[in-house]
Amino acid sequence: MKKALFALLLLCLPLIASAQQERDFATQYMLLYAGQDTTLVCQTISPDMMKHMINREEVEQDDELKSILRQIRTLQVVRAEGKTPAQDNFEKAVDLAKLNTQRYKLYAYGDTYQIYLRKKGDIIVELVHINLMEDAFCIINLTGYMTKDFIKLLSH
Amino acid sequence: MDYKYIEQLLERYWECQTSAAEESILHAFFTQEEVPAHLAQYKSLFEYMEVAGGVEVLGEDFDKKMLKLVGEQDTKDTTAKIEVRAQRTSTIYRLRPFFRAAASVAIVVLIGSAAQELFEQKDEVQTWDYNSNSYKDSFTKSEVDEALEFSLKGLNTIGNSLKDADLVVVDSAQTKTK
Repeated sequence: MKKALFALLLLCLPLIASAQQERDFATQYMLLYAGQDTTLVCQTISPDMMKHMINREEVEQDDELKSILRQIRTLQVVRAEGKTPAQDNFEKAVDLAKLNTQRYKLYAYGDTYQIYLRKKGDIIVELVHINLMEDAFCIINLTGYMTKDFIKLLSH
Repeated sequence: MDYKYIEQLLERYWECQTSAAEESILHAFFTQEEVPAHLAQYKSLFEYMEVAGGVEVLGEDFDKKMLKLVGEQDTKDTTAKIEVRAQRTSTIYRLRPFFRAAASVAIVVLIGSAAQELFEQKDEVQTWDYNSNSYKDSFTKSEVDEALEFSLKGLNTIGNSLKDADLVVVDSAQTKTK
C-alpha cells in the first residue's frame, strides 16, 4: 500500500511542480473579481500565438517590432464591458498592485494610468498598465524577458 | 629353555603376519610373571594391549544421536509429511510489478523534464516563472493577423502612456522626474 501511494505521489510530482509557478497580475485580478463582476473579460495572447505573430512577414521586415515582440511571452488585456463603473475597477486594480509592493513596483504614472513592473534583477518579467481612459477601464499585462531597451522602444 | 618359537612368532608379529591365535600365544607368554631377559623389552607392549582391550564399534543408535544433536531428523525417517498450502494473493500484491514500473517511469519523466528545463534556454526559463500551459489563447491559429492587430493596439496604448508629457517616472531611488 505504501509503495502504491509513493508511486502515485511520484507520478503527481511534475503536476505539482508545474502548479506551483507564478500567476500574473491579470490572472490574479480576474480570479479575484471576475466572479463578482461578470462584465470583466480577459483576452489572452499565449506564448505559442506570440511565436506565430513573430513569424508573420510584416513583423519579420520590421526590426523594431520584431525586437519588441521577441521580448514578450504573453499579452493579456482585461476590460470591463457594460455599465460597471470604470473608476471602481481602476481602484481595485491599483489596490491589488499596492498590496503586492514586494512584487510590483510603481514605475510611472499619469492622471489616468499607472504602470507597474515586476523585475528580476535587471530583467522586467512583467509590465502592468492600469488604464482609465474616457471612462473605460483596461489592464494591459505583458510578461516576458524584457529589458530597459524595451521601454525605450515602446516609448519611441 | 628354548624360546625359538616365541622369537619366530615375534618376527611374524613385526611383519603383521600373525594370526589371532598366534597373537594370543604371544600375549599369554608375555603376561606371565617371569619372562626371559632378552624378551623383557616386549613385555610392556603386550601388557598395554591387554589394558586397551577390544575395538570399540559405534552403536546403531549413534547416527540418531548425532543428528539429534545437530537438530536434524534421520533421513531414513520419512514419517513427517510436508504440507503444501495454496496462498491467496491480494490484488495489490498482484499489481505490484505495475506499481514498480509506474514508479520507474515517473522518476525517469521527472528527471527528464527537469533536465530539459535546465538545458533549454536556461536563463529565460528560470527568469520567466509563469506556467505557459495556463495561457489559453483568445484567438485561433487562423486568426494570427487579428491577434497581431490586437497586440499592437495594446502596445501602442502603453507606448502613448510612456510618451505622455504628464508622465511621472518613479525610479529606484524614488526620485521623481518629469
